[in-house]
Amino acid sequence: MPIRVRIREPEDCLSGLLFLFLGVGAAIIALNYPIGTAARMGAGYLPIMLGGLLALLGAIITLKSLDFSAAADDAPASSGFGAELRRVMRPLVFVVAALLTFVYLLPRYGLVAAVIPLVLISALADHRPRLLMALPLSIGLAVLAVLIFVHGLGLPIRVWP
Amino acid sequence: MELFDNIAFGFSVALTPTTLLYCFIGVTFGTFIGVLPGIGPLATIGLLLPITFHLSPIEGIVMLAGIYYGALYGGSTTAILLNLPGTAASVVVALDGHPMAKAGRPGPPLVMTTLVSFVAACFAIVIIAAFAPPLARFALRFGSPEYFSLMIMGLLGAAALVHGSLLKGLAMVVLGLLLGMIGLDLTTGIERFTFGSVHLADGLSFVVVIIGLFGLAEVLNNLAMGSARPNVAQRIGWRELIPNREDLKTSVMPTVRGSALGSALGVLPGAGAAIASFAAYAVEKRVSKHPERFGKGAMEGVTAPEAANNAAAQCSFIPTLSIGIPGDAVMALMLGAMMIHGLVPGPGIIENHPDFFWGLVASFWIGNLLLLILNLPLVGIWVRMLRTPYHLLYPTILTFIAIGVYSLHRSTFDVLLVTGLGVAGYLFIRLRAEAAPLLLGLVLGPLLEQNLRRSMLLSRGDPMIFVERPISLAFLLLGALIILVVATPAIKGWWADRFGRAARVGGPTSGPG
Repeated sequence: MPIRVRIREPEDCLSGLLFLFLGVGAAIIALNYPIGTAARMGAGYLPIMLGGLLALLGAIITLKSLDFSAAADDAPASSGFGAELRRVMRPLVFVVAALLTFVYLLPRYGLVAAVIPLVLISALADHRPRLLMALPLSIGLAVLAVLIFVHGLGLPIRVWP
Repeated sequence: MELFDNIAFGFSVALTPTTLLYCFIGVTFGTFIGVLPGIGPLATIGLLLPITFHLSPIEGIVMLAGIYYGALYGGSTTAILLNLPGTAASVVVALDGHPMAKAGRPGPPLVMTTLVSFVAACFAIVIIAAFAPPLARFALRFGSPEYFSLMIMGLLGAAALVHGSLLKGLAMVVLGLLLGMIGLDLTTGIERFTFGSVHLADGLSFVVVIIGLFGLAEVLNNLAMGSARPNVAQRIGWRELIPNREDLKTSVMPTVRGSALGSALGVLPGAGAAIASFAAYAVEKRVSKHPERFGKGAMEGVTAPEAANNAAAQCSFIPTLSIGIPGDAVMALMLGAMMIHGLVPGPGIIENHPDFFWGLVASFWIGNLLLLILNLPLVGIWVRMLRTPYHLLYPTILTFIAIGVYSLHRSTFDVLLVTGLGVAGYLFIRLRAEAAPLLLGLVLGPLLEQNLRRSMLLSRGDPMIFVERPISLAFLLLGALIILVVATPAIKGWWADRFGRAARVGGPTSGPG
């Protein structure tokens, strides 16, 4: 008979796996560095130990999140997962897109041409975007940014394209 | 009497009309920039630092002190109003300050932080004058093993403070330590975890990590919560800004305890304001008759850490100056600024530059007083920021994050980094893994490794050195005690019950339950 396992705490299970993955990854990368001895530690010594410790903690967190005694039929229902995903992805996608656009535009076309798209794209991240408000806001923020950072703080940033 | 002579001497240095003016300018600008969302105290001080370089050392340092206090105050203002903490220390203030603001009482925590800062400054100045020489001598007895154990204690404390699982807190500390390894290893000259990128050779910038994990992640979380997002934009009358008798009464003892704890932890090199405020919060939670109120808007949770923070910030100047190890990132920045002014920290600085040392101490007190005078009438303006609708606020925060991060090193790579860290921080929020312990690990990582290496070199590879030296052993035992107390079944049950319920409200799996 197969062992039935139920995930009791999904957050703990996932974060444990994440720590496990990061710890193992860090330790493997650090194996490339000289380890040295306890008295004369190389660059790899502490990272390998910490990576191992993180992996161990991750494994314990994951194991503790599992319930080995449970019957399989009371597994949590996964209904509403699609809606939840949409709810989460929308801000994530548009905020990241807005910042990437800013990174692309700033060195090439200056502050004003970078701030306006940043604000407009990030306005789409809200679940009920108010695009009519976004345009004046973007212009206002571009002006404010120039006033504070370029004129006020004297940062050498190009303003116009 | 020597004690008052030193203080009086300090004031004679700091209380000239020009230094007073520069202190005032520093406080005003520090607050103004520091209160902008997404620009923490570090970025604020960094941006205003060049101005002070045109002044004489004393004037420059006094203005720096003003900027420092203004920036810290501005930082706790944004932490309280928008849950955007700029330093590890204001993370703690936000734990209870922000829920109070959300509950429609943003004024009292803002006023109380100013008031408490000032009280702590009064406290700390006497402590410094009375105990500077003996405490500096005591701290000088610390070797690498003591530093190492002290940092271990601080990190265990940070892990124990998290909402929810202690194991996750420990894992976040370790992750922070690993992130601190990124960049050039100064001892061996080997680049670690840089993936060949020149941008990572100097390590992860503390400011970028803070803004990503706290600022940007919070924006993402608020947006994802959508309509479930708590409404902070309500109308507030001017009268409600003033703390009531209850606020004042419940703050007296926490302020005293916080100041004492901050002074004690501040003089220990490497501890810094962050550990002090973490510890003060933990202590208040422990002594409180109603610990369940913490995290939901307990005044003690704001005033004690703030007092500890300020007292520690001042007292940490003793070891920072005499040994040259900064307690936190802000201190490191201040230290760098002093060196640009030609004041090299070392064992002899109190004797050789008494005008500078005591003038600085006095100007902290003056900076706090000016802050109190300046901010009591201006608190209302900061509170009004809350009434800005979120659909206007979050693009503004994003804009300031993007430009602010870019302006640190004029590097678009930092903006990419902050984007990635923001997504990671949001993931941590969803996984209910708090990022604050990670931050402390990141800051202390390089220092911890350095002192571990030195200790092990000293003992020829024998780890027993940490328990054979009494001061080091005391720190380790304290750290173990913290973990034991938190892991006690009774407390664990209460802990899980409280945070388990709290975290599920609006949390990722908030189904019907």
